Amino acid sequence: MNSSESGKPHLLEVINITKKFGGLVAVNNISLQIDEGERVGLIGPNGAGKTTLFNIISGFLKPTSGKIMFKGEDITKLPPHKIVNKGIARTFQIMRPFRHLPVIANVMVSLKSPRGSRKIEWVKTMERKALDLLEDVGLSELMLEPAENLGYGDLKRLEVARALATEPDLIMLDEPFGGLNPVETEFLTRTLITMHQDEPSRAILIVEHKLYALMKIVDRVIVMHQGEKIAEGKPEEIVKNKKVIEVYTGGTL
Amino acid sequence: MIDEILKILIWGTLIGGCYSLLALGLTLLYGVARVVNLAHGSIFMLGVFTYYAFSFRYLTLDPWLALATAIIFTGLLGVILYRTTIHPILGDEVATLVITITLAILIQNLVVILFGSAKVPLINPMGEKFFNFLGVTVSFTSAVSFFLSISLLFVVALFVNKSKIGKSMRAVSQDREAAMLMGVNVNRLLVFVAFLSAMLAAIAGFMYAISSLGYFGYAVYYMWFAPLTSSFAIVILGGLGSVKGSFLGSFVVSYSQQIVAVFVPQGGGIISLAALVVMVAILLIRPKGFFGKRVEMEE
Amino acid sequence: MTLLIKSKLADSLRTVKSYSVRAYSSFIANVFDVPPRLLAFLCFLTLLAIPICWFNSFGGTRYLPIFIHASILAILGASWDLLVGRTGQVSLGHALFFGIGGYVSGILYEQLYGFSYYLTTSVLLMVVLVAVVIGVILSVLVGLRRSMRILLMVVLVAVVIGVILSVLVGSWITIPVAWVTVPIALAIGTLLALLIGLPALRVKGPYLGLFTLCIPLIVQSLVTWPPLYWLTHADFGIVTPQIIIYPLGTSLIIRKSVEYYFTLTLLFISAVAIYKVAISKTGIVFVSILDNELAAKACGINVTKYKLLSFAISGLFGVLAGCLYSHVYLPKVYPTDLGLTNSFLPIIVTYLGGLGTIYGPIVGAYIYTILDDYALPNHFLPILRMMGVNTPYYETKNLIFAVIVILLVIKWPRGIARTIVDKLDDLAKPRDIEERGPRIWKKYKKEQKEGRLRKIFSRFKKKQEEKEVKT
Repeated sequence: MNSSESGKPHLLEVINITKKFGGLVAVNNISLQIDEGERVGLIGPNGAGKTTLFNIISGFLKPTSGKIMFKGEDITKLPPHKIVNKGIARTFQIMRPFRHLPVIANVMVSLKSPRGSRKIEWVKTMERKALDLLEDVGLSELMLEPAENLGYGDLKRLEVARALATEPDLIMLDEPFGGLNPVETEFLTRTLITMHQDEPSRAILIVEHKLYALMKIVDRVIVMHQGEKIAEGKPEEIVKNKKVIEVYTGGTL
Repeated sequence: MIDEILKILIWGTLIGGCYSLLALGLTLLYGVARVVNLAHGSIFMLGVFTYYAFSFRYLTLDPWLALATAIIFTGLLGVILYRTTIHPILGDEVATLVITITLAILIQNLVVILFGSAKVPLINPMGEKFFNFLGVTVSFTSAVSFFLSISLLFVVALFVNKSKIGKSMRAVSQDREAAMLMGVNVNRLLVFVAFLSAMLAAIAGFMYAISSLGYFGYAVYYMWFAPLTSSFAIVILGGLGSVKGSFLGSFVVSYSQQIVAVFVPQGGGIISLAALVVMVAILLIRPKGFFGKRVEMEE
Repeated sequence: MTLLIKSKLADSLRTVKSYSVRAYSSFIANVFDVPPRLLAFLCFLTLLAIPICWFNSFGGTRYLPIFIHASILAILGASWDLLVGRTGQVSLGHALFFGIGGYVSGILYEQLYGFSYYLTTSVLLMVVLVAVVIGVILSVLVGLRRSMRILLMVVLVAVVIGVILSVLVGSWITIPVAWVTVPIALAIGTLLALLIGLPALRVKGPYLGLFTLCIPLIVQSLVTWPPLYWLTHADFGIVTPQIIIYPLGTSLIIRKSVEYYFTLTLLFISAVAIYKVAISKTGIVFVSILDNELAAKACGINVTKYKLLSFAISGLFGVLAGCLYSHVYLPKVYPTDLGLTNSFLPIIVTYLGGLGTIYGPIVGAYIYTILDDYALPNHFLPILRMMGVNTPYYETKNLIFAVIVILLVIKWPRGIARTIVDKLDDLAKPRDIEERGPRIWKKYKKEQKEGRLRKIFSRFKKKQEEKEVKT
């Protein structure tokens, strides 16, 4: 299963990744593939190992065994910032804004990275680029507000803006809808759909519990449980999958 | 050559025992409270000076009574210092480092004000007796200190592993919030650890100063620094927060110090240098020590 | 080619002026820009010195050294604050930078030049030396990525200048030795900072503080090691070369005034340089490392590189402060210059003024020096003695400062200067800050529209021209 139908290598290949914390097996021999432009959802009950998998792919954790290939390159041993510069960006479940900096400066940190500053030559373009990104997520009015004053929904949007600033080929979102009210959820869903329309070649991997929002965005869903992949397929199929329902509800309906 | 090696082995072992007590206090405080106490050496010094004050300077108690009182008094001092200065800034690592080093300076100046800058003699409650062990002259006090420190180490290790308080200490060191949810009164526990750490430092201080292990029966206002660097070298080597590590590390450090003292010309003055170099080397090769908590992704 | 650069430059200038977005990188939401404030403050200090020194019966020699000392401490404090307050790397060993400058310079002075005041050297060599030093300094300030290019450029320019000068002036020039040894000391100090920075990066938080605490003490032990006595003279210290050599018979007050303005100028240059770094995008990255190193990594920032950069810049200005101290303020350099007290000084100074700002340590340095060199010995001490307190002065003073620092760290880490500045900012047009964001945004949208209009217009014009050509 080394290449997709078109014959190209997959954008992201997770090959037999296992992660053990002492005696606890958080991720057990997982493999998955993501192609260019694909939108994939990763779901599963809490403790299934989704965030651990994220951390391994983005380089914050090293797996006990297995490989991660990105665009044909082995990125398993790379430090996180190098992985970002290769083209994978991620957001965090726990908010991590730069408290002392205003919103626009938060985005500019991403733009200062080698990948973020690729198409930027002069001061003005970086500021403009930051402003454009803020507009995309709807934070333009708050641009000079210190990030510590931001509300929860705005912080989530800031995280997305920061991840997008590095122009990733694969953007990984860790529970982006967590804690958002219906209006904010709708807005973020629309933002993500527009993002995909603007950049069709950018792949999205989302971990999320709000299935109604997730199913609107993704074309494929992978289900994890206790560190293993238990199902994979189109959203409509997964929702009807008996095993998945059992895992989420603890018994058959 | 043989007697030099013997000297290194014997002195190294004796001093190692004393260091292990000191390092234990430091490593416990870090493990449970996540506080790097740069004033640990100063508490060590305070213990010695309180003994001096109680046995000679301000009161003239019986040396053993003075010793017991001084140890408890220093423990209480440690608690007061902890509660007033460190507790308010528990989460902030920058502030903790700054405050503890300032405390160390404060204590040093306080000592000079109260006791003067000259070396002060200490009364040895056991009296000066020497004996010959494998061709090396060892004082009775040093031997007693060594056995005392090893037994104390075992007592503390047992306490941490078996007793209820010890269990709560280990719980808090792993996950403070979870421990709170389990009903552990974290604030009280932290105070207790500060007390324990200060007492251990005072005991170690007394042993170090009194016997020919360290200062040959004198105390002086700058005596806090060399033990501080040695104990930090030990805990870094063994890993901050690991009791086993600090035990092993103290012997590694004391042996290397003795090697430097014996083989390097005029090496006595740069023993603390040896400790620092060991520490720097360890920090370069293996920043987490050999037994320390392996944190891969900070929270 | 030049047209392109000019138009881009004009464009960026226009943008910078119209957006005032540079305010974004301030650590504090201030309305006034810092350099004018610093300038004003420093001008005030200069003016302050004049009446004190010229109208004093001791001919100014009594009070001017206080201000010289204050300027030196200000540079040290600002350099420390950049590293600790802005990048979050706790350095408890700034004394290393403080002392190393004097030692390098003094050793060179004694061993290579044999205490001669002057040095006759070829102009070419001098210029190349200066060029290399400036290259090292600039490359550190500008960022390690472009350093190679800058270094080469500077060296080339310097060689050209050197050749021209040597043709004009003659191949030999006599200069004070210090002009050679001090730049070398600066360069070595900066490289040392980088060297220290490398292992320092592998360690986090508490380990870093320990590590930096012990390094200067290791060096201090080395310096006082008996076998090295021939080189470092242990406790006797090394005589440092004079930077400014006065003709015989210059009065003390003229000498002190010259020294004062010299250090003040260097303080001004350092403050502006550090400010420029802090407010640049590199400075933003520094603050991001302080706030959340993990998130910075997730933004693609090579945290190690920026920590190293911060170390280097901080080290550079620390060595500068130390060189001034050992060459201008004192005639010799001693092992105690590497001691714990000097590691502690930037801490007091920064917390007095305000952690994380640039002007905070500067103000704090002045407050501390005036207290330490003047107010305490001359006013406080007599009162204490009158009250019957006969404790030794040095220790009592240190005790009081230690207590003050502890109080400041717990209750008031913002320090005096920053609290005042924040209050001023609150009073002055608070509404402006909330409205500024939306206002700038509206201006930006308008400009975008105009830009689009211009593009549409130019396309329209082109279509018109094509039509004309056809007909």
